[in-house]
Amino acid sequence: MNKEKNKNQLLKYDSFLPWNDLPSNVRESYSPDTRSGEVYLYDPSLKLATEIAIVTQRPLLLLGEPGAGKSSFAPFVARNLKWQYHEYNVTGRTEAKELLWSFDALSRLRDAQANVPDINPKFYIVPGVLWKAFNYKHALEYVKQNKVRNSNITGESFGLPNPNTDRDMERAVVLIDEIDKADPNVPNDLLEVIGKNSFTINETQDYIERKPPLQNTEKRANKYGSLLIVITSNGERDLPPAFVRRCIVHSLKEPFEEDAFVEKWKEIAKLHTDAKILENKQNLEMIERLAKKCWKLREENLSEFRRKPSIAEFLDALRICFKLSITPDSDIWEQIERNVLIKNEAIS
Amino acid sequence: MNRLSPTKIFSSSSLDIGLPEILAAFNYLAPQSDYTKEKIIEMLGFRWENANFITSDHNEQLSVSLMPQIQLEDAEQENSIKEKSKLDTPSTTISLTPSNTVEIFEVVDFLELDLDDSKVLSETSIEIHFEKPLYIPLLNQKWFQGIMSLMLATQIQTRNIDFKLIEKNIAELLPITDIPCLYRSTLNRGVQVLLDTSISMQPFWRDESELIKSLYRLFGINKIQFFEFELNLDPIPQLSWNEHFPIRLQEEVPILLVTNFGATGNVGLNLIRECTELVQLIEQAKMKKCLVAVLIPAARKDYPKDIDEFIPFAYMWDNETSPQKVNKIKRK
Repeated sequence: MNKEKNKNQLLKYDSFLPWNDLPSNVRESYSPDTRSGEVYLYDPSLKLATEIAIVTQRPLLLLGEPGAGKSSFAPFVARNLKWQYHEYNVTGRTEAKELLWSFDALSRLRDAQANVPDINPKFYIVPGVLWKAFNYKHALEYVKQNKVRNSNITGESFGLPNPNTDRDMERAVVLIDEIDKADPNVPNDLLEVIGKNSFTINETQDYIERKPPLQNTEKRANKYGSLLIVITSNGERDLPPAFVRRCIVHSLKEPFEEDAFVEKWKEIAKLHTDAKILENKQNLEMIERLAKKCWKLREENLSEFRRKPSIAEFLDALRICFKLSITPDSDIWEQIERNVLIKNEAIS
Repeated sequence: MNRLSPTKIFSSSSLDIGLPEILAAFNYLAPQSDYTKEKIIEMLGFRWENANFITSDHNEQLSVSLMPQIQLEDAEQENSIKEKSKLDTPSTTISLTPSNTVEIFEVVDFLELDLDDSKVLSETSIEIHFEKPLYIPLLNQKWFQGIMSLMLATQIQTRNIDFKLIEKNIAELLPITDIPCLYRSTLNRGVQVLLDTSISMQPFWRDESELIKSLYRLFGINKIQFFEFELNLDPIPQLSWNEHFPIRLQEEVPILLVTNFGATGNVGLNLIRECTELVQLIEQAKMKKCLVAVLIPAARKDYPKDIDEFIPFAYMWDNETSPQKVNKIKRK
């Protein structure tokens, strides 16, 4: 494909994914990484990849450097589609099973020792994010019917959304964040579950499968799909090829040219900044200066193999500058650069 | 145009992305430009080539010629395909012209070679291909993750209770002082790689470099430390580090030692044990509970005699080494 030739080409197709940011008077002014899904800068190719993932019922694998906005995308989509939202942050100890269910063996053992009359294993099963996404109603009924004993475990504690909200309980967006942190076998262990949308609970042999919801013809998105699994990776390690092959893959990349880069980061900054602040021309200039500063730092750090400031750090620096009335000309700017943007001193 | 639902389109039980997904994407998203179609195909992991579209009065039919993109696991194949395509185009051509032929006859005369000069050599051409040799890793890349998982995985406690052990203790009337949990294998502790860069390992320097790259891809950049050393057993066994700082092994992080022990062959364990730095290194590893595995680029019969007594987990650095063979050694 001739990339130069296609550079300015637009994507033309029947898009169904709404892309609405919350008005600034409704959202929080300063809140780092809340994953509230309030705003997200429009990216046509990311939108297309998401719609492909929904209609083909395949997970969307988002790649990109840390702070690029991978994790913020899923809640944004969920909010726009008015679907449930569930997230799971993968750690080095994560096993694939934890995304499906967990078994509170300690509570059962404690109850056994306390001579509690009925210690059926079913009472100690806690639905995982994929179970909730596959079949929310079943997960909720399971919890209620089986009267889980642990006082901390309630419907809300499971992360099951309040049915009184305007979210569609039969449709869900699931974020599996930073899957590259887990052991290499974890993505492969998830393949069959995600492919077949079903699994069996080992302790009880209950069979859980995704129940396709009734088609809702009011919204096009609801007609085409009911589950979007967004998986993110920082690229710290390669993911198994068999896993990658079964995902729709999209990389979040920054523009290679300075003008396009500055323009993009300015737009992102405006989305995350209160409208009243943007009324001040000096603040707008400040945003542009900071974006240009980040471009320069990224170019310098690229050549020196140091960590490059990401969008997340840019927004943090912007908030600090607005709050404390700091500019790149201020004496304290060097420290902001060091501690917030590059974080040099944190790296030996 | 009729729109099919995704559930009707997907009848394939295959887990791989294929034609059903392409049909669904085209059916639902109705791309209106070739560029959009190309993007959709690319996002599904295919490459768009020579697409032809046939339309009719009633509906649009789609005819595409698709090549699956060669993705990560086929990187080796991709490289070999790229190398092969280079071979198809001659890089240097030397042709024998009539004048060259005359020159050759002169040389023949000069050397008094007995040749029948009544035969005329017809014009020929010699194509000389300067081939870049294909790099083939010593370990079969398809098995690399499996091999390393077995070689270098450590055990980590899970949150799952080991009920079998509890049951056993209860049945044998043994006290249960703490709750036993199950363990599972993990690579998340990373690995410390010790690379022998002595002259005897020179044929394998590139392999060592490629091994490090493969390990980076498997473990992640942050989980690997590597150190270089030179091990010479002749005349005096000694190990010298190439690093300018003292080597400190991390606790419980497995060690992968890559060496041929000074070119194996007749090297015996007694000689290796005379290398105090190496012995101290292995002792230090034991004290820090580091699993030690050694990759030896030699046939098993050429290993230093009784090396298993010194380092139990010695593996052949060769493409015949499979996860099954690694497992067999580990179980011994």
